[in-house]
Amino acid sequence: MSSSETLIRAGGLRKRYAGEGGRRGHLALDDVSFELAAGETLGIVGESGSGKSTLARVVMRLTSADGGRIEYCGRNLLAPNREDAAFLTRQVQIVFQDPSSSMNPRRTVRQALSEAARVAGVGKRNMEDRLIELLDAVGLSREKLDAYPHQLSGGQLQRIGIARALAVSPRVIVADECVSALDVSVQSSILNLLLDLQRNHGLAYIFISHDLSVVHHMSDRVAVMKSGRIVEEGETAAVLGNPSHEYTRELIASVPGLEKH
Amino acid sequence: MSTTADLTGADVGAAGGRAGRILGAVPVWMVLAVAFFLIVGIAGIVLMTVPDLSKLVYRQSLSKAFAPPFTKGTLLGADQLGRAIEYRLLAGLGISLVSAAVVTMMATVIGLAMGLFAGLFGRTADRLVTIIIDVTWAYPTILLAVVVAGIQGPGVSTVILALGLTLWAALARIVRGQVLMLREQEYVLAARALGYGRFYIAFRHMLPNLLPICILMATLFVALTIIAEAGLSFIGLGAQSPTPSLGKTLAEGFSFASSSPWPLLFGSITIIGLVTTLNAFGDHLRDVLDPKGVVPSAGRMLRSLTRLPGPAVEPSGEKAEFAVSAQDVSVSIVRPGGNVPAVTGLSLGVRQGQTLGIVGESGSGKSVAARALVGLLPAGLALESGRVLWNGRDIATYSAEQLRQHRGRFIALVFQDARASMDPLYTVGDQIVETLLAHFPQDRRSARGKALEMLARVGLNDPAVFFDRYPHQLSGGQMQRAALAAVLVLGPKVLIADEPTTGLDATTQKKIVELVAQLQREMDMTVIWISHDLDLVGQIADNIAVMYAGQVVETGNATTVLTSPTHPYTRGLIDSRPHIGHAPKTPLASIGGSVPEPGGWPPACRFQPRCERSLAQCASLAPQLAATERNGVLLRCHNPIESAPKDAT
Repeated sequence: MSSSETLIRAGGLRKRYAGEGGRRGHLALDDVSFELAAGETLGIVGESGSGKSTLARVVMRLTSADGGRIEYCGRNLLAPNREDAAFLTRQVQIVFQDPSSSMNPRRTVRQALSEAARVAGVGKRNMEDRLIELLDAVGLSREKLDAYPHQLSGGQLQRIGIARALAVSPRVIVADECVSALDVSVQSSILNLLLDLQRNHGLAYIFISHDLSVVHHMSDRVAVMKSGRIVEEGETAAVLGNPSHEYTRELIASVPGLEKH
Repeated sequence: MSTTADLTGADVGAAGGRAGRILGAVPVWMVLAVAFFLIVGIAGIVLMTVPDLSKLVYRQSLSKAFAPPFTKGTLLGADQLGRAIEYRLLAGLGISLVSAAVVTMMATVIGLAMGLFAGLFGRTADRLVTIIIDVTWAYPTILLAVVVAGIQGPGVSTVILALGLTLWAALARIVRGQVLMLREQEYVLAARALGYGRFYIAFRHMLPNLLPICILMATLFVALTIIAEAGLSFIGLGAQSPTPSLGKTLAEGFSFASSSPWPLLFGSITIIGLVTTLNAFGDHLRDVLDPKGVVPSAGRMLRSLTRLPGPAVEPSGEKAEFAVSAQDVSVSIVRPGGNVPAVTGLSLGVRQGQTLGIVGESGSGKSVAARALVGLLPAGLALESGRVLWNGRDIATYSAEQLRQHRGRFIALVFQDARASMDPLYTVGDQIVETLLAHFPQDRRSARGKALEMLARVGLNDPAVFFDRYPHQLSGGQMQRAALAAVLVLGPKVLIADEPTTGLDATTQKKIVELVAQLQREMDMTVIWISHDLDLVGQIADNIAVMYAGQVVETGNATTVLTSPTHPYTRGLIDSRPHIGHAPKTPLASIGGSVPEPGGWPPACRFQPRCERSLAQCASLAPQLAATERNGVLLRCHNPIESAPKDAT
């Protein structure tokens, strides 16, 4: 991986959420630094409140950071100019956790996906072909185009969420707990899909999850977060096979499937 | 109004997509009544606007003054100036309709704009709008009407302005709350991540989801306007003579009531009829839009469980084989169009001191099974058939009072959402003491001592501190420990744990699991642990029951079932979880399709459409739960996997 081009370079990220009534608030990101190379998966594991979702939001510019910097291929990701912002939108996309809120309940799959495809400059004439191509990429049939969210299962909705992210042909997808809300029997098919897409499109993932088994399965490198800090980071096998931080050891010990081995 | 605010955007959106069905759910007479007033109102507008017809409204004839109904060429009689009351009322309805429409439009547009502005344009905008709303809210409509009347003189337009400029605040407040909630919906975040701006998001993603609430509020505004117009006209701030508004008709009728009661009577009937209809319509609309719907009371469900027809099993005197068992229990979800099965033919038992793990995905019926075992089905669920036995005794033979006593002392339940099982207004310690006193009368001092001891046993070190804490002061893990203390203080023989660690962090989950295992040993408890997590259940259970679509599909010794599963579903569940032995980034086994919802279960084998081993008979003949040759495992499958031990990975 080291020979690959580095896409994202983040350093010293800080974010504090304002507290209520003069309290100091909650430090969600505390001096977070990481790098992401093209085509690799960086797993981010941590418990609730560890700051991993805040990190996803900062990378997506949905939340501002208080300090630090992120560069995407040398461009400033935190405060991009207009042209860079449009470029970044087409380079970095996100898949969320909750299938039940991933689509507007009053809009069809066609509307949801064309909203995304338009951003990538797909015109009216090519739209239908592009949408079918996207559905095909995530393993759904074209009949689903006119379905409303309530007519789709959780797994299907998550596939639509992935198709929406793919619509702009990004190089990086941030997957924020993207299988946590799914039934166990559906989870693996989504994980398989993400792995397929990575192979076929050379995608890089920032794969965020509280589930260590899933992160282990998906990631080339793992960063362990606790209280807004990355406490340990490295090759997946090295971090999980030979953890150096006490918290990582505790986390590994608490996963029933991992402990047995 | 608060109930409308409770509707979440997603629910409202889903409800809005079924507009036809919603109107269909309103009683026919109500639709007819609304339609009647609408048509009459439009007729009134026509009457007022067509010059030749409007003469009918204003034509005075002193010879007809105070004519009773059906005399001198009138239908409903005449007023003090001999004007026909029916035309006055018709015109009044027209005026009410127009002012209601204008006020509703004003209030809705201003309310929506303000609410969206507050929710989408940052903190300063939000504060500003909130202040304006509060001021508007605090300023009585009637006072504003006086001010407006002072500026431009009284009249119908004064009423419209005064109402339009105050009513919007009610909608703005609700819209603001909805927007704050919608803003965090993932589809809105996704649109932002795609670079779409506020206006696009407001129009494409928020407005459609705000529509149902606007409709709801509009029915309120219409009724309010009609009442307010009548009131303001009555006290002289609204319509002036000879404008035939309903309020004016009422006021004049009141002045001359001693000469003729008819104008007052018919005026009152019109207003009461109109407003009652609109309110009833609005109420009904709200009920239909409320996703929670109308559910039968919990009390009724409880009775249906305890008074089940059929032979009850009396205690035999010998020691029962199972601490808790279910025999052929079926539970349905009560729905207006016919009950939908949630659990069918559930038969299982747990021996004293052992642990049974019930595993299943969403919709498998595992939580319903747990509730049935405690004899406490939530509202909306009904026991269709079957028996639940505690220590060999059919709980249908218990009186309600006996059942209450046993619940808690014999069998206890802890939930995933421990916080919801505690009253936020009382300290943890007080709640434990109250529970204790309700079951075992004793003096408070000794109850307090036992509560403190229990808090220490569940690992809340420094129990005296936690005794005085309120639920909101505890973390998720502490809360689950406190909830355990609150049920275990009664020394139950059976503990049913319904996903008690789901949602907790992995490290906290491990501690809670260990705690329950330790307390189980110390207190010789029987535990039924319900979870979607096979790995977790495999760690703690002696026996497991795998549920799918309301049925047990495979049950038996936990190690046997998990190491050599023979049901394709069990096997699929185990293989689809990534394990550390599994090579990273290689495909996982997966089960196609998704879990069917209750009501959508296939007729024969419920797993058949997703099953790779499905045979022709699987779609036509329902498999029964039957004994296998292995170690007492029961299986529900026509084509099980050969029971070769799963290769150790």
